Amino acid sequence: MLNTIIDVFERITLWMAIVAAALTLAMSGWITYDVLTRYFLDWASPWAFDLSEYALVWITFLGAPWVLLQDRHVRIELLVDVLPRSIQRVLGIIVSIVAICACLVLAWKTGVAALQYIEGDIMMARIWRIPRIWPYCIIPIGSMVMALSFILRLRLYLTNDDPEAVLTTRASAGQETGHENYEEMN
Amino acid sequence: MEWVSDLVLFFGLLIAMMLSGMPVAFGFITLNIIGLYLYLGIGSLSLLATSSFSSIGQFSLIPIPLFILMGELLLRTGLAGKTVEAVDQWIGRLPGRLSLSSVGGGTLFGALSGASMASVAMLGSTLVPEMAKRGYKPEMSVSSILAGGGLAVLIPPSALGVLLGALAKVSIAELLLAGILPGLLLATLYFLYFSFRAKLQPHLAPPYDAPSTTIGFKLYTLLTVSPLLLLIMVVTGFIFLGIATPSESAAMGVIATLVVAACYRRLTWDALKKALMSTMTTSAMMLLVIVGSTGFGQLLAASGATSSLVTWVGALVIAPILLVIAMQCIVLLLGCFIDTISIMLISIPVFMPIILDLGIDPIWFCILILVQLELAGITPPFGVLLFVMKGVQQHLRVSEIYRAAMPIVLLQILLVAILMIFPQIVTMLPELIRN
Repeated sequence: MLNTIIDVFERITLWMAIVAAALTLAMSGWITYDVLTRYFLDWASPWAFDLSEYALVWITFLGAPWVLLQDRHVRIELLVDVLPRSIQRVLGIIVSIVAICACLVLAWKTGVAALQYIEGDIMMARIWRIPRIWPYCIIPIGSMVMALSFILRLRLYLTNDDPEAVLTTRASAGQETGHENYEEMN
Repeated sequence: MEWVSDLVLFFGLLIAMMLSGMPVAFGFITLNIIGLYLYLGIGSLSLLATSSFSSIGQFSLIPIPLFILMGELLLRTGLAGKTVEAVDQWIGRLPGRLSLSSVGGGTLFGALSGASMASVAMLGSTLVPEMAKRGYKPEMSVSSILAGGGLAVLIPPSALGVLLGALAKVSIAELLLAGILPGLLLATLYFLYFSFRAKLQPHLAPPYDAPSTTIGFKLYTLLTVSPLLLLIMVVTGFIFLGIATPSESAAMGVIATLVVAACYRRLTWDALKKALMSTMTTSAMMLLVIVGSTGFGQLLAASGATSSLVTWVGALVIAPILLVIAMQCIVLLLGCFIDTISIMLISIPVFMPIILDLGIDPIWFCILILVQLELAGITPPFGVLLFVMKGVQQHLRVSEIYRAAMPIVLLQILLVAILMIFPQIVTMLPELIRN
C-alpha cells in the first residue's frame, strides 16, 4: 500500500517536471513570436512579457520537487562525506526535519495568501489582467510537494543502510556527459 | 556593535546549514524564516508570500533557463562536437595541436552556450580519446580541457553571468558584453601558454604527422559550421546591437538552435527530451536558490547589518583597491571548498553594497568575481570541473588532475591582475552600447 502511494507520488513529481520542461521550450516560442511580430508587423503582444515572468515561477515550483527527489539541488557534501555513517544518518534526519518544517511554513504562508487572492477576486495589476491566483497557485502547491519529497528523504535516512550512497547514485544517474551522443554521431 | 553579532549569527547559521549537507536553497529559505521571525515577529512571515513570487517572476532572469537550453541542445544533438572539429582543421600542424583545439573549441562553444560543465564534458569526450592515442600527457590534455571548458563562464551567453547580474542588480546586457574581451584575452593567454609549453617540452605533446589538409577543405569545414556562427550573431550580436534584450535574444537563440539542428538532421526526439529535462533540472535548482537568497539579502538589510557594515568599511583608511583584492581573496579561498553558486549567494549580498558605496564600477567588479567563480570550478581540492574531468578520464589519479589544473589557476590569476591594471578591457564594450 505504502509503496503504491510513494510510486504514485514519484510519478506526479515526474509529470510536474515534464510540464516544467515543456514550459521552458514553449516560453522560447512565444517570446520569439512576440519579438518577430513586434518588429515586422508592429504588433505588440503585452501578454508575452507577463506570461514569461509567470512561467519562470511555474518552472521553478513544478520542477523543484522532482529535482529534490533526484538529489540534484546544489548542496555541500564536503563535511558529510568524511563523517562516519551513523552521524551521517543523524545529520540527515535532522536536516530533513528542518527542511520539512521550512517547506510547510512556506506552503502555509503562501497558501493563506492564495486563499485571499481567491476570496478577494484579486487581479494582477498589469496590462494583461488575469486573476492573481493563476500565476500564484503553484507556489503553495509546489512547496507542499517539496515538503512531501523531504518526508521521502527522511524515510530514506531512517530505513536505508547507506542513505548518502543512494543519494549520490541518484544524482549521478541523471547526469550524462553527452559522451554517448558523440559516439552515436560517429 | 549589535550588527556584528547579527552578522555572526546569520553567517554562523548559514555555514552550519550548508555544512550539514542541506540543499543550499532550503538552507536559505530556513534562514529567512528564522530571521523574519526573530527580527520582525511572526506576522512578518507573510512577507515570504510576496517575496517568493517577486524574486523569480522577473523577465531579466529568463536567459538562465534559455541559455542553458541552447547549450544542452547543441550538446545532445552532437553539434557541439562539430565546432571542435572545425577549429582542429584550422589549427593544422602547430605544436600542441590538440591542446590548442581544446582552447579554440572551448572559446567557440563558450560563445554558443552558457554552461561550463557541458563544455568540459563536450571537450573531454571529443578530444580525450584522440589525445590519449597521440600520447599527450595530463599537463597538456587535462589542463587544456579545463582551460577551454571554463571559458564558457566568461564568454557570453553565460547563465552564471545572468545569475550574478541578477544577484548584484546590475544591467545583465552590460555584464554579458563586458565578459567578451576578458574571455578572449584569457583564451589568448591559454593559447600562448600551450604553444610555448609544447614547443619547449615536446615530450608532453608529441608532434605527429597530421594529414595535411588543403585550404579548400578548410573552407569547406568553415562552411559546415557557418550556421552555428549565425547563432552567435543571433544571441550576442543582437544584444550588442541593442536589437533585443538578453531575454529576447536567448529565446530566439533557442529557436534558431532548433532550426539549425533540424537542418543538420540531428534533431531527434531523444536529444530534445534529454536536453529539456537536463535544462529544467539546472534551471529549477538555480531559480529556487534565487528565491532563498533574495530573502537573505533583504534580511541582512532589514536587520541593519548591511548599512552598518558599509559605514564601518567606509570609515576604514584602506585604499579601495586593497578591499577589492581582499574580496577576491575571500572568493578564491571559498572556491577551494564550496561550489560556484553557494559562493555567489554568500558573498554578493555583502560585497555589492560596499562596492557601490566606494564608487567602484559594479560591472568591472562583477567580471572580476566571474573570473574567480570560473576559477572556483577548477581550484583543488573540490573544484566541480575537476570531478567532471575525473569522470571523463577514469584512469588518471586525482593528484595528476590537480597538478594539471595548477597552471590554469595561475593564468586566471594573471588575468585578474591584468584586468585590475587595465579596467578598460572590461568597461570598453558596455560603454560603447551605453552611448
